[in-house]
Formats: sequence, C-alpha cells, structure tokens
Amino acid sequence: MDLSRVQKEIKEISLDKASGISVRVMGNDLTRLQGTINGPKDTVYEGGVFVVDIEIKGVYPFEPPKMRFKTKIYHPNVSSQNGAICLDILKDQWSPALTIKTALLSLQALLCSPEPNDPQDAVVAKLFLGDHPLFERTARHWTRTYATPGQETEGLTQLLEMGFTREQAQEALDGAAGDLNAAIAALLG
Amino acid sequence: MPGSGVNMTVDAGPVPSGERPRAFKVKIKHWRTLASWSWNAGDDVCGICRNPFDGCSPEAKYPGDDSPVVWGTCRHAFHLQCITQWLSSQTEQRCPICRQNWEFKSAEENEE
Ligand SMILES: [Zn+2]
Ligand SMILES: [Zn+2]
Repeated sequence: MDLSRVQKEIKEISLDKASGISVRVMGNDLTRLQGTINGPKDTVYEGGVFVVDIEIKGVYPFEPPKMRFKTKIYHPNVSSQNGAICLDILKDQWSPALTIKTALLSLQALLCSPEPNDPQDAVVAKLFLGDHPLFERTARHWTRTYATPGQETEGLTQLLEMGFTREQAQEALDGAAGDLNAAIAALLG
Repeated sequence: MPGSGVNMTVDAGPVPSGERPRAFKVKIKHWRTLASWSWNAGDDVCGICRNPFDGCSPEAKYPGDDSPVVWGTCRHAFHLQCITQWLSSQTEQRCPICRQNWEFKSAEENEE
C-alpha cells in the first residue's frame, strides 16, 4: 500500500476544520480508519454525527477505500441494516485521483441529495418516494437516536421508566418513527 | 515552474565506441540546477501517488531515474509507473483526473 499517500491524506483532513468531516486511525497500521461526517444543515441529518468505517486495502489508491456507515442512518442509498453504501465513486467510478477526503465529502453530499431511484435500501427508497413526510420523520428520529452523541430521546427515557427493556423500547420507537404514543400502543398492543 | 531560458554549450561527454567524440551546441529552454531539479509538468504533484514529480513514485528507488513523468493528450501528468498501473487495471483507458480517453502525449508535442 502507498503509506505515504494515506498519511498525507489523513494530515490534510485533520488540517481542514471547516468541511465537517474528520478521520482517525484505528489500530497501529493505516488499513483501518474511522471517519465522521457531520449531518448537513437543513437536512433530516442535521445535528447528527455519522461514523463511517473505512478500510484501506493494499491496492489503494488503485481501488477505492471500502466505506460503510457504522452509525445507523435512514437514507435511500444506505442499508438500514448494515450501513452498506451505494455510491458510484466508491465502486466503478473510483479514480486514483480521488481521496478519502473527497469520498467523505461525496457521502456528505449524498446526505443532502439522496438518489432514491438508485437505492441501496429499497424499503427506505420506497418510503422516500411514497410517503415523504413519514420518511423525514423517521430519518430525523434515527438521527436523534443513533447519531446524536450522548443524547437519549425523551420517548426512550419514558419507555424505560415504564419498564420496557432498551431493545423493546428502541424497536417500538423506530417502528413508530419516534412517535411515543404510537410506540406505547405497539408495545401494549 | 523554474526556467530562465539560458543558452549554453555542453560537451556531449563519453560517446559509444564507433562514434566520433564531438561537442555540439544545444539550446536549453528550461535550465534547472541540480538542486532544484524538477519535471516540467503542469502540476508539481503526481495526481495518483501525490508525490512531487521530483521525488519517486512509490515503486521507484531514485528520483528522476525510475520515475519518468508522462503526459496524456489531456495534459494531465503522472509518473509512468502510476498511470501504467492504473490503466492496466481498467478496461476503459481514461485519465484519472478528467476522465477523458487517455492517450500518451508524444515527446515532440511536449516541446513548446
Ligand atoms: Zn505517481
Ligand atoms: Zn486528464
């Protein structure tokens, strides 16, 4: 692997405080990195910090870095199950002139402009196109729940106080797009 | 790019046996001292490995010798090793920077 290039790239990202992305090295070689993307303003992801697992393979930069959302995110081009990303430059449109930074910035741009007609998660894409208000409510709920550091939503706190387990409460809230009453109804139903 | 456009006379130095030694006059359009030697590329850094053109490609050992710089007809420049490795992994031969069809620019075309 071209270590010097990866090192330079990491340094370049760390010097750029304005772009809302960051990257850090996991472990003691440069094959595993973790990036973060701040949810863009005026989107359903605003206020969230999204962690992206990055794997740099030996052939880099001749093959793209492997990227996957570690933070759960509700987006038509990201698997809601495992964070897999559908983005052309991370696949057949990769070029060695691109960088980890341009890839993270492209992901940030993808959060601004989802492409539901070329989905990774068909269910999310269907909701995006079919019931956009519900898509937005659900995505905002996921942002608050999974991407907002150190914050537990009010609904979750209440359900925990009512005696439900964290898993039960979270599942019910997710199913109800964050609506507490609907979640309670589902749990009691 | 440094380049002062000086004229100078150089000795051709040792020549292969069978040829008469001779001195000839060359016109040097771009003069660089060894200390600040650099390739005459549009950008100082290879668009693939991000190393400066007066350094090595990641595969090469010595600056200059093993890291020739080549141009595409689109005028983007890369280390020969870097662009070759990229093109050999691709079915479509495109420039990594502008994605135009990649064609090596011949040496004469570079002399302007
Ligand atoms: Zn190079
Ligand atoms: Zn080009």
